[in-house]
Amino acid sequence: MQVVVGVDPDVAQGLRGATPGGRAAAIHAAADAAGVTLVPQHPDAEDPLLARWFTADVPDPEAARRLASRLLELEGVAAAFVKPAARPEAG
Amino acid sequence: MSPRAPRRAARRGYETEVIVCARREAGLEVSRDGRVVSAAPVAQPLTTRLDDAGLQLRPLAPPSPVRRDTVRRAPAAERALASLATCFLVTPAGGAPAPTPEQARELAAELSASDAVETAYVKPPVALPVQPGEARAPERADGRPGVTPSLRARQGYLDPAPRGIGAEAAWARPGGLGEGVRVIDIEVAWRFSHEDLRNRPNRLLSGRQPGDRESRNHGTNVLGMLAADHNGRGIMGICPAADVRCVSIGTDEWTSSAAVREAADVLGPGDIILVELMRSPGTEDDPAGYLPIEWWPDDLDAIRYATAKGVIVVEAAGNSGLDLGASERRDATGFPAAWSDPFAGPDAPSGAVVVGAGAPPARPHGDDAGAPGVPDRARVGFSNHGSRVDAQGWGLEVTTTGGFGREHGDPALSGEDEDRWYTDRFNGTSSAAPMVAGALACAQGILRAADIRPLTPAEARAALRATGSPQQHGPAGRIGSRPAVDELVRWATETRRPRPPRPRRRGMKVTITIEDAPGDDTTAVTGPVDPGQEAPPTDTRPPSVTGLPYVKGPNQVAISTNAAGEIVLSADEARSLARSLGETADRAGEASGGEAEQAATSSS
Repeated sequence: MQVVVGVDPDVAQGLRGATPGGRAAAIHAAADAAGVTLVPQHPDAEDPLLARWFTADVPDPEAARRLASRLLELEGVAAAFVKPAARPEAG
Repeated sequence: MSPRAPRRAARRGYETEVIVCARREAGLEVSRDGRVVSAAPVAQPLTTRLDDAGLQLRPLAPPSPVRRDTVRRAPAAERALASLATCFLVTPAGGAPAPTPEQARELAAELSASDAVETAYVKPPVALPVQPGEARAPERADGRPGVTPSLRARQGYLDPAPRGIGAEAAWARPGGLGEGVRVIDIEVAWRFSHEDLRNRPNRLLSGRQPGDRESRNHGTNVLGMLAADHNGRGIMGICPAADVRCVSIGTDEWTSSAAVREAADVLGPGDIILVELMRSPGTEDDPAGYLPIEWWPDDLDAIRYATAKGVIVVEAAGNSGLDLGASERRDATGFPAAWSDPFAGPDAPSGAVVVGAGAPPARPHGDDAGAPGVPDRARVGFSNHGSRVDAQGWGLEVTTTGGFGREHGDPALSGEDEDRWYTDRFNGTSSAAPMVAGALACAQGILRAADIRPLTPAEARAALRATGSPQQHGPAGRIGSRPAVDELVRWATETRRPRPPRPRRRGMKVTITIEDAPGDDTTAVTGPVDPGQEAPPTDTRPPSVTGLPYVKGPNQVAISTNAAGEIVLSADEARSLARSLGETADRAGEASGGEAEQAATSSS
């Protein structure tokens, strides 16, 4: 499963920085506690529309839901949800 | 040539060739003495096998200082060259004869199985272009081994409207084959070595294809509809002269957002992305059917990014028989507070074209099981529908390349080899969407050839809704009209179309207004954009503050917009910006405006 996290622009910068502080550090800590790593969905994107999205691969669906719920409680997190898998769909 | 003339060495392209495109991790590179070498363990079985067979690799794009200098100034060319740099021609070492076509096919199949190889395929010899109807023997439909007859008569979707989309008539017009238009299909896998898909090498733009036949059949079905060669055998693609490429999400089924963004970065205004992916918005207990990916906010942003660049995004509506506007059972837990259902009405927050599945006229291949009694252009029961759906394509009995589902090609149409598989049964919004994307590609090609501005994403939606062969009465629910290429072109030429805002290039003048948003942690700061003014290119800004406002100098504040031309700041950033404006413009408190610097590019 994948947890997708949308954050405020300044938090996005913090999450991408080498030494995140404040709200970004709290978000990283929540991911660490779940045993996963948050990574930018678009690593080299500068466009704020894209730069705010991060993801974490979480094998267990229940753990993924717990992480998303935990992240939603944190300041600077605008969205956190479990994203289902995509596939082509023939009729 | 005189019968007594000595036989010359074969010129490249005049004999059957095997092309290998290696995975990047194979690390194949050209040594100083011109040999292709690699130190990566994954490449060793490949190089050993080639040595044993007396074969060698030659780069398709040998290193060239002149070309490097040229492509530095052309990022698109640089990407193309980087892509080509992993592709090699397999040649006999020491002047041995070129492989026969049969040997080449066997070799390509063997090399395809290597972990170091992305794809390997046989490239047939070049042929001189011929006029339709000239110099080609009549097609044979007698089952002679090794020759696939023309299947054009089974492709009613190419016929004039209302039966089809009028593609064949479009081909006779300059640009009508899709010339100058780029299309990227985003899904999972394709059979690039199919006999009807060899007109362009290296179609895979990015991603790694898994090996399952169902995904490969699906991609091959779609790719054939768009791009199949017009070579007198098999099917005919809707827009074969378009540059149709593919992005695979592979087995990483969550990377659709990155795939859309990657495709958008390669394409330009008027080009087309086709998204052939679905997701279920429900729970494990109640899957709630399948939806286009724009339901999920990160995918929505990626599509908005693409359409803001002027790229037309076409999405299959899904095959769950859902009213897209009825969202009661869909789980939106954790979505942003500002998110709203993108399918709630005809407005398209993403700017994408959504395509439903309509019934074809009088079941062309006699199979009425998919939609018994449903008349031409009525909604097929399984198609998602609703006011958000812009247009329809055939959702049943589409003849194209590849097998159907997990199956081999239809026995009556196909050879044994997967490269000769065809089916009459491709269906769903999966077949409808490439029909609409192909119609748009033909129309965009015609417009470009006539030096008329191609359709923007918003215009494409408007044109599809205003033209075409209307939906017929049948199962309730809107799926829109079946497009007709000539009507799309006519709409574009006869409709007064305001010039769209120019995409952000080297900079712009931005006038901003800060508004408090009580009760909201985020303050929206938006402003009209005047693209006529110069501002610094992004790369002149300190990297640490890219994307945030910062003080450049007296009365100068630099600020980034997103691809949609919007400025979105958090409350802290807005306050910081207000302070900056107050300080630099000697205005305090409620900032009312500021201007990005002008003509500040001289230092770049």
